[in-house]
Amino acid sequence: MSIAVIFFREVLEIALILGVVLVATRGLPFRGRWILIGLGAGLVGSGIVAYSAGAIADAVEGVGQEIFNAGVLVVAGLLIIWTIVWMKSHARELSERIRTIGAQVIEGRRPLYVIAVVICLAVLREGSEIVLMTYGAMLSGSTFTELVFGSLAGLVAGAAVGAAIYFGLIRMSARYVFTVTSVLLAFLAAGMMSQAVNQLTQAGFLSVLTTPLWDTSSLLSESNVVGRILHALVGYTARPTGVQLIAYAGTLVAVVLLVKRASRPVGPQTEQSRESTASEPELAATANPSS
Amino acid sequence: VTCIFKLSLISTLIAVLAFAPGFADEDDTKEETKKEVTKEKDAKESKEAELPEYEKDKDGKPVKKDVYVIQIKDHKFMPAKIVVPAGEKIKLRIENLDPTPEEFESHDFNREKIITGGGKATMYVGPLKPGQYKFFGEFNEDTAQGLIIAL
Repeated sequence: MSIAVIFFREVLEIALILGVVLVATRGLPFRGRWILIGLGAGLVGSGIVAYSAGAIADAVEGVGQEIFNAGVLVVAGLLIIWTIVWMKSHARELSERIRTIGAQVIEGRRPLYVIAVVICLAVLREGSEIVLMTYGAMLSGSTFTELVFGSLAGLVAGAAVGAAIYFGLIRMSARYVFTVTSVLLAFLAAGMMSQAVNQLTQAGFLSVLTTPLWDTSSLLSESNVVGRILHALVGYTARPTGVQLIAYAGTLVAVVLLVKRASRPVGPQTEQSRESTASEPELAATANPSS
Repeated sequence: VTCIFKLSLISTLIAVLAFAPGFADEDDTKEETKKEVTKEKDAKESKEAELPEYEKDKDGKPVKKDVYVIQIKDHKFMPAKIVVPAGEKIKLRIENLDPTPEEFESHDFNREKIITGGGKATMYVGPLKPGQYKFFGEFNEDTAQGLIIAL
């Protein structure tokens, strides 16, 4: 039973992120392949991280784990922000593609690398915990059947919640789906940044504004399912600290500003792509001048 | 698509229902409140006896230690209760004497850290407001339970 519960908790986070990302990338070509690559790399990475958990933990005077987690969270958060901005600057093409199936392939595969990395990082963080927990359960003498049934039950239940989010979002009309998924992704990124800051606080790197500002645990505890889902989706914390709040709000403000900047030139398409090329030098490699 | 959506909704409902007790929702909460009530009673009757021993300064406030060590053995914390001064950032060292990995976790003071079998981990907690803060081992939640008391 406990194996199923832990599996469910960890899979839930992966499934929710996957659900939102899948909706956000709807209509992009070859996305399935990149998502599978992300999942696969994440699974392999989980094993590696779990295997080297001891080495990671002992690194940097015993706070290697926090630095690793914070790094993973910050990178994932930044890539999600980048995805939102990319989506915004290609919104018209994307929604066109969704409406008319078989339309021209959208330029640039770049965001799909990004999505593969985001999924890989999500799997990495939660997956390594699953591996360690399973290893511990095996050492403690759990039977093979307990492990198999527990993990399957947890996996199915977690995936079901992710699927519910996915199918709930995907039923919306194409007009709203971008706005809604962008907002969801922005909160997802903000939640990751806030968690990253908390990891750094735990490691002792931050010591200002580290007292919780309020406590809503009596209203919604992080230990129940709804609290967990909101924690994974929008970074809900019952007792946020000042630095967490700053990281959270700062991320949201940054996203709003970046999106505004990306959508400012309402003029011809060429100007828009030039703008994004200028702001993202990496894009230059894949920017397609055909438009 | 609608069919799949409905199916997934139903399975989610089933999943949530199936796992609800596991998330300390119904039975556990009742038990916990019961426990807390008795705890409060005990605390009223003998407040000093409820607390583990700790070094006090002349005002009776706990003296801050450089590091607070908690060991994990047989999926239990030793000591399971520690007293720390409120309003101070404290350093916690968790030593896992079991061969199995454990995740030290607390929703009450927002900490989460994996400690490998036979491994050690250091983390900073607080400053905490006066009060009681639960922590637990996520991989063995039935037995691995502990409490930080900030005075």
